[in-house]
Amino acid sequence: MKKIVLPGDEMYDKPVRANHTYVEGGRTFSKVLGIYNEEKDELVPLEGAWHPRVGNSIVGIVASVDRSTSSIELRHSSYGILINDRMSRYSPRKGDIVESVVKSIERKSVPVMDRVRPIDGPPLLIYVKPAKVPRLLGRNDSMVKQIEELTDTRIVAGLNGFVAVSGRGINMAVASIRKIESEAHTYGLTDRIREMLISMKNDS
Amino acid sequence: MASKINKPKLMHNGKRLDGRMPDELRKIRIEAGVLKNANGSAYLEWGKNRIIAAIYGPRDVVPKHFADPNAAIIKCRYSMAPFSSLEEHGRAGQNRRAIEISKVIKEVFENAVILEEFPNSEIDIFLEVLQSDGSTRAACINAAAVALASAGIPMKDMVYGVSVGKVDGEICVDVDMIEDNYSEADMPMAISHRDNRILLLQMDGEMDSSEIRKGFDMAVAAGEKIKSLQREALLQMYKGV
Amino acid sequence: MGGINELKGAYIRSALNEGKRLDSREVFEMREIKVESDILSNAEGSARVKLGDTDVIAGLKVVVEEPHSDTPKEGNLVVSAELLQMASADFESGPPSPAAIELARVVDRGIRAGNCVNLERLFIEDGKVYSLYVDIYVLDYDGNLFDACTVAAMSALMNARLPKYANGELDRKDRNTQLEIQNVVTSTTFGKFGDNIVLDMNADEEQAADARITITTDGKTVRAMQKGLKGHFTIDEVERLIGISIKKNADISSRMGK
Repeated sequence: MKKIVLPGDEMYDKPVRANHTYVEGGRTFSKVLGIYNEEKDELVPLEGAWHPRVGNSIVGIVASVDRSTSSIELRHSSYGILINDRMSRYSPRKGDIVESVVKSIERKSVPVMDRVRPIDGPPLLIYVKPAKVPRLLGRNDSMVKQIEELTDTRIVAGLNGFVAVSGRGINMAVASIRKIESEAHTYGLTDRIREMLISMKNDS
Repeated sequence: MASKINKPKLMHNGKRLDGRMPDELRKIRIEAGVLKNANGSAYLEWGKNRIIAAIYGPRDVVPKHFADPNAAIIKCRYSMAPFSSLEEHGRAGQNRRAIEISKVIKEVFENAVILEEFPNSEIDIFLEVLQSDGSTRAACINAAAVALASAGIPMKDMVYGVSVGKVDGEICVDVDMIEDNYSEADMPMAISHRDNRILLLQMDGEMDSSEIRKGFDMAVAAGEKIKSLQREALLQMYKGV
Repeated sequence: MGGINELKGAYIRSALNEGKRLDSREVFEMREIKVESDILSNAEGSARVKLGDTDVIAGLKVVVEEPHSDTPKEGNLVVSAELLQMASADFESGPPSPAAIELARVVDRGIRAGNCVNLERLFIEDGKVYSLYVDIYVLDYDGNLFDACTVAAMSALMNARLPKYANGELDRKDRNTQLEIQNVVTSTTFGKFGDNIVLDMNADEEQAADARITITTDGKTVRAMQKGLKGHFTIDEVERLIGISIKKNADISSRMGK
């Protein structure tokens, strides 16, 4: 069973350490508007802006390149820092679309980036609500792989919400991404996406 | 409040001018997720009140020196559209009243939102009264809480707003514009869903302590209805679960 | 959003070179216009207009004032627009931006030059006239505010009612007199990218455009024009766009008052 919970809803009548919850007066409450999956005993937020955590994979755009550092735009007016590494095979250029990983968080909110790689293309860059990116990826990336195969595209989805799409069936891929974004909370989505893409292919 | 000149009779045979009983709310409709650009939003109809609430953030603080390195800050802007009232054409922007209301609403959500999760960030609450009909601050609080939840902002609890007043000697919940103009007292408040914590309380006029007690009880009783409407508005965003 | 906008701009341009728009519209195709009229009961006229994801609301208030000394027998019509911060992460607080002022003035000019309201009919008695204040609020921004706001202001005027004025007092409960509309104007705003021109730009397209032109017509003649941004139009282009603009008037005005 899945159910939607609101901030302040009681999750457990005892103190429990669980994501997106807090404990008060010996009980545990949800912090977020989320969906609770009873079988997996897991609370997943339904909405929310992205907040950098160490290890997050992101997609961004190189916004500026200075002598020792570069900045990478990760969301609206928000940047990650990259320490330029002369030994690296890739030297960033302004305007490049890149994938990268958050290595650390400085001053509590500034992400420092690592393992920066350019995404070839140039790809089409779209924005997906960050809370929906995990559903777009699917378990072990199963959802995104399915779309790539059926549309002959390459998709790189960053947890910050930017998604780079390149290849032949860009329009179909984007249509399926938008469907996932609006139906992320529903059952049987993987099958519905497959059916949609197959019928789109047959039509064209 | 104020003018007692030309004061109409507000209660007739135990009923109010618009036919409501003292403990009866006006008709309320809430819709969440109505704007595309905002991170969260809500549209609320409450009697003739028409409110739109929008949330941006958490995002970087502008200007930067306002940032708190340990927590998010909340900015709130309540204002009334120049065409919102039945009377004269109003001024665009905020007057002193709007600035005070913005401040007390901001303090409600500084309590409810878990600010420590977002150091160096700001969360913006924009509240536009498109049409006003009394108790707009309570209405705005209801819309703001739904909009914040729909933006995925972590909160300790949901919050609702409601007002009570003393109308022709009778304690009534949810005072409308005419009642507000001629009532003996008016008491808007914001209350947390789970524990009935009072997060906003203002009052002017005259009520004795037993009347105030009765007002709280009526507010909490009416709150049950408001809470379920707020919940329903959020659930409506995800039909088909 | 420097980097991202530049990137989107490059994409929009390269698609347009193949005659395509990213939302798969034709170059001179407008997004769907949805008008809800008379939605606020305190205002004397109102309308909410959605043009794609652009969402604006217009409210009209009627007041009784002294006429301007140079037009003692005419009432006043004042159109204002406000870009609410809630409408976009890029809109800032503070006094109206030059963009907001330009928007209000262009919409105002079109309706005024279109003679949409007979201002002489707003005369009450010597020293007293009705003034119509139309305030447009932008709630959600996805481009082309000029055309959306013109539809909103026009629609609010079309359902406006004048409150009764008697014995020196305005009775707002008695508003049985419908405001007389003698002409209906619509505007069409085009954007230019290199040599390509499109109608009704969304927010991404507006970020990338070289030049912009708003043409306001009543379906027969041109009533106002405003060219914006750094780029240019040729005379031939303007002539062609006027033709398109006049043709679009019937379709756009058919959405009003619904």
